[in-house]
Amino acid sequence: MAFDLTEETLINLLKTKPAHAVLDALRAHPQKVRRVHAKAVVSLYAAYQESRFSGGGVSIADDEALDIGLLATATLTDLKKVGYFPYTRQVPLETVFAALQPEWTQAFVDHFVTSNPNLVVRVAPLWRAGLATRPEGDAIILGYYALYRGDGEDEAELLKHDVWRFFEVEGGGEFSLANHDKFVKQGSESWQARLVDYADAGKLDRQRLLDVSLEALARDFGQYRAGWYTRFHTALAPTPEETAARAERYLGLLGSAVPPTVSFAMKAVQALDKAEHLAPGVILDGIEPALQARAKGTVAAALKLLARAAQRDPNLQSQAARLAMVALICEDAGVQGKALDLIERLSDSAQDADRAALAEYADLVAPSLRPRIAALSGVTHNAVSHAPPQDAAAPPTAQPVHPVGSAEDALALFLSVLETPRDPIEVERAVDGLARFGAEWAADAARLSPLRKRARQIWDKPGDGLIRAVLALTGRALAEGTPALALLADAPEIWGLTSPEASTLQRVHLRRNSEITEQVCAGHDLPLLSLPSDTSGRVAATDLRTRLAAYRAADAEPAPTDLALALMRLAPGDAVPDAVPTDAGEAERALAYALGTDVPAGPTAEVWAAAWSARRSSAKAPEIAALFETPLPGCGVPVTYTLDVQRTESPDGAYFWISVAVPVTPKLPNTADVLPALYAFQPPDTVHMSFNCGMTFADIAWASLIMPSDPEPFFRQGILMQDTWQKLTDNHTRAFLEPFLRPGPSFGPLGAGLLAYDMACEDKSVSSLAAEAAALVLLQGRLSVADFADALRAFVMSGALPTARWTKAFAAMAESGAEAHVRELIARILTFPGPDTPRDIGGMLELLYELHVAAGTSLDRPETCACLETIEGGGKVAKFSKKLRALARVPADVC
Amino acid sequence: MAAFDQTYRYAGSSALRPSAAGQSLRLVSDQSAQTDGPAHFLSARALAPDVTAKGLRAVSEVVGARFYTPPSMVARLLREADPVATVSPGAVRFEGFSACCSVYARMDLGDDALDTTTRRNGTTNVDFGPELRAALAGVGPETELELGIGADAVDVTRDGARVVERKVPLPLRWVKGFGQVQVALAGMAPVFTLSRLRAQRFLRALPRGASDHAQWVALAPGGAARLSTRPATGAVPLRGGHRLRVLEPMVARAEALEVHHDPGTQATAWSLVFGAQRFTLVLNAEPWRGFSGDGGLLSNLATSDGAATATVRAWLNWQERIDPEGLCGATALEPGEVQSALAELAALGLVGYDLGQGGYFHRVLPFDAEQIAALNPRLDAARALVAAGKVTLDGTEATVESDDVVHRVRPAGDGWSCTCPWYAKTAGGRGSCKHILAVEITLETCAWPLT
Repeated sequence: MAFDLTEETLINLLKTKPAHAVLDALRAHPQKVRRVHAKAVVSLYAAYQESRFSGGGVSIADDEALDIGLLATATLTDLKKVGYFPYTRQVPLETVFAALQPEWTQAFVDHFVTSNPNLVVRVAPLWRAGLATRPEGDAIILGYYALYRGDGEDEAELLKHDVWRFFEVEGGGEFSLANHDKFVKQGSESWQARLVDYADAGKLDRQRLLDVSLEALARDFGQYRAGWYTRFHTALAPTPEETAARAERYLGLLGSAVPPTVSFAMKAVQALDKAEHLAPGVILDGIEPALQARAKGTVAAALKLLARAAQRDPNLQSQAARLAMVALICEDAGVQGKALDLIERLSDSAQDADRAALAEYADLVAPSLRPRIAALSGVTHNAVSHAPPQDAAAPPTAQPVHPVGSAEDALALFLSVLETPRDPIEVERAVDGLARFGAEWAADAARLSPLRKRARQIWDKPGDGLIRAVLALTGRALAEGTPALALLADAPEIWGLTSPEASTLQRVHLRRNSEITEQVCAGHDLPLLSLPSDTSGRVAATDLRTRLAAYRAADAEPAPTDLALALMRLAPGDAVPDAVPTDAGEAERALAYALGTDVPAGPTAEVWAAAWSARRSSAKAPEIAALFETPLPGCGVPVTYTLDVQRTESPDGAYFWISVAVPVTPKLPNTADVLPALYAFQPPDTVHMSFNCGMTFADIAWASLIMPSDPEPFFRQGILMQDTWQKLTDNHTRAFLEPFLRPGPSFGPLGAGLLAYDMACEDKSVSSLAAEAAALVLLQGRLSVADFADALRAFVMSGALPTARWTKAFAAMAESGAEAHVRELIARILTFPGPDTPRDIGGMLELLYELHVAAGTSLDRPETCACLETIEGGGKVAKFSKKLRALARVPADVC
Repeated sequence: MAAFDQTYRYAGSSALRPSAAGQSLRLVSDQSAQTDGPAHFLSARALAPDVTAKGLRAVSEVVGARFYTPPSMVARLLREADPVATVSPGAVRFEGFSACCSVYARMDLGDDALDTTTRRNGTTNVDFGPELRAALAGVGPETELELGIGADAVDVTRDGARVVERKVPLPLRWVKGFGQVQVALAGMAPVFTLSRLRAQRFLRALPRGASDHAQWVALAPGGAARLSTRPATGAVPLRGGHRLRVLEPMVARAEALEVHHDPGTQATAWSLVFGAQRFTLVLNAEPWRGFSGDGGLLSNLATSDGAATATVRAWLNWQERIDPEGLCGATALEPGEVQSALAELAALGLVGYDLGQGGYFHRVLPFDAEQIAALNPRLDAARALVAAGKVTLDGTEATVESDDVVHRVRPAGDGWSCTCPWYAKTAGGRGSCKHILAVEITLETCAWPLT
């Protein structure tokens, strides 16, 4: 008997009674009466869900009772709003719906089936009970790919209709047949096994399954998901007769965009060809896509089929020769050679048009094959030189960096780098603009308002880059008239800025900018001492003198961090040390010291350490070291670095990885927040989370300008920070290669090491840039081939990374015009004893051979020849070591 | 409003079926956009059927593709929008736009690519399901392929004999980008051309997986394409190079690959030329950036009084190539006004741009033009600023008060600069900000001698 359904009684019921009792109580009331209380129940439901996660005080005796209350009162819109999820334990869902008869039952089913395939299994009882109609879209099929089994009374529908749609509905994300079977729980049956069982039991038409699985492979399914259909087709184990009946379908799949599907089809076509179930003409009509496949194995197999077809039907020889030409597009010289073998065999029937077409491939095949093409086509080949771009080999010229010219331009530039601080020179120009025009901005609140607002917004959400936070804080400091470091003191913790133990170069950047904003707030309009004079990032001594004179004229003390940074950026050897005036301030004295004049040091230790760094001296300077309580690296104490590359194995030998360390000598503590020490050395010797250059491209790019004349410590960080297996959308480690792309000095062993390491990165954005940078600096003569070869040898011989990665990078370098350097580099790597032969070095030997053939040169290093004599390995290694030795121009007893 | 419901009404499914002559490709057109006249647009025989089939497949592939997936979009990976077909006197065109709005594809079939029996000028959506895509893969150079576009159903219809209706929530940015991309095409200049074999090698060298890093492509000695990680003179940017893989199945039959570039937006167009047929793929500068946000036309719209556009619009009559000089003569408008009007009409979906012939052609996108016209929130915001009297002009610059901030708008080169974050991020490369637009609108009514 129905009781009076007031809000209070209902809420009390839902809070205290079990699910069965609630359902019995509510079924007696019509939907219209129940719905009046929807708002209260929805609120209770929402509050209960909240309290379950946040530990609130809503108490419910049986949470399933609350679910029933919600279904009894709410609309489907309400359910969606509160995130209701169909899940019942004691009272089946169909019982609840049968009792309550909501008018939106069908919409409920449609919504949950389409919104989440995992829920198909939950709502299926509703259509089984006749309370709704089953939706007939793809979502039902995705339900099978999730948890829906389609067994029991659903099996008939599965076998009659649904299973055939498995071959039309690809799915995606976590819902696909491939994913289902890959992650099927132990004890559960995969769809592949189940369908094969059905076919074996005669419940499914085996012939139709064979057909539809091939049809599915002809659709544009993704590679991962298409794999299920090839595996399923293979699991059906088609007989030779069944395969023969589908010969043209297999042939058609040779044109698939999915390489494993092409391989699968190729195997079937090979079997059909062997059994002569395919006419030669049919093979020729369908083989072209396989001849242009990216996988060299597929192309090689297709060429074999072509050869057999031509042999079986000699009338097809000229057509086969034309088709073989198509395979010359393959990048692999071995496959190109096989295609040419076939063309040569069939060349008697070649027409003039064929010869002309063949000549078009002359530039595309390996140099060693070009004479064969010339002979076949009758066209003399003019080799295309991979001449470097006109500007590549020219010594790089630094362009002057022009300070920003007006207050408005300065503000615009600062706002621009606040958004995108990827160009460090622009960042420095912006800070210089602030130093010179900031006082003018500060006098006009309206003018400063965009900076005030934007700096605050960015400071609130700076993202990963510390440099944006630094620039935002700099802008705020100016706009709010408060020193940046004071603002920082009130800020929540930001790793790398607020925590002194995580010393980063951006802390130095912030310190400098804070000093500058204080100077501006004091009314000064003075230049930034550390503004690079040109695009090399260095500060010319004459410029620094001029800037210091401006400070003297304004009776202002240079900001110490700005001065220290300016001294570290000082261009070497472009100014003769002056006699130091007797009234010279510390800044002038430090500059004179940096330029080689011995003057008494102190008192600002960081400034003098920077001045000592600028000397690039390898000798200890006791007068500088004494300015610090304990000796610090790079502060009067020179440090040296060693590159150490090892292959490390797991204890059971099953796994190995590369370990790269760059130990520093002498071992010194580095706990001080002092610029030269921070730059020179960051503990420990191996990779560590305390990356002092930062974690984004913009941070690292700015750090690359700390000491442009000596990037070796910067490269050390780049080596320690590299993870060769990591692929990123915007790989920040590319910023460590920035110095190679700027005008500047020659590079040392760590620069060579960084290039060698980065060339082997999995991330092509890094490896391509490293190869390009290596070619560039070799062509410019800024990197010695010997140093680079030493570094490359250390990495290649470690055996910790695939040698093929360097081979690819060398090929790219050769294409950039550095063929001669690549020849020499590979030759210098080939100096190991036979037993130490690295894996997969065959490709590198092949490249060396082809480069020599292309250039008409030969091996002339006895050490290389000796190495080739003892090198171990068959196949490509043996083939090309022999060919290379045949090219050698050294005494016969060596090669 | 982020999307509007586009209802496609098809009297069945498009299909490729055997016919007396060979194969018959019947593309079922959308009935919802029909206005008058017979529902049959085209009956023709393809003269290079494998190229036509591959091109249509590629357009359909682009429409169904999402080259960039924002994290929130994982559940909405599959898009159900259909390609758009235009039949006009000189060509039949199929266009499509990717779900991520960063790639536009068009297959142009010139007169010499078809042996046409009947033709009716018009534009329509065409049903293009995965089954049809799969079937088209089997069309070879020797296949006799009849091509038909019309509202009439083929012999077997999907779901019995019912008219198939699909309601697809088309994002506004998708529809808007469809028009905007024509404006980007009009701003492009040819950069280089690769021969078939060089193009094939170049496309094969591109990574198979999604790659987002910035690269540049330039012509190397010998006519090859050189990929570089650094910009260089004569190089075009290529970010998200995996988007070009759509071209790979077709390139072996092409004569050449032509590359065009718009230095303003950094968009690029990659056209495979097959004699009388041309397949063009237009890539926006970044895979995650839709053409809809480029706003290169906003300044035109801001200062347009609509009269010139209306005049030019009245002259549109399915021209295969709209002659701007002829239009000037016919309408007594200045060349600049005609170009501006054509760009505006392109954004409204009323004209498309053909790179091959270097000019606009008339077609009417089968979407609600009123909705497209209302898709410029930046312009709306600028008008609101003007209406609220937030723009102040002085001798050398203007100030625009917006959200308690005073932005300064100053002449910069050929355009303007502003102190807002949008300008700071894009430097005008993606159209003017609302502050600049507000100044431009104000200047239309005020004389402001710039000194």
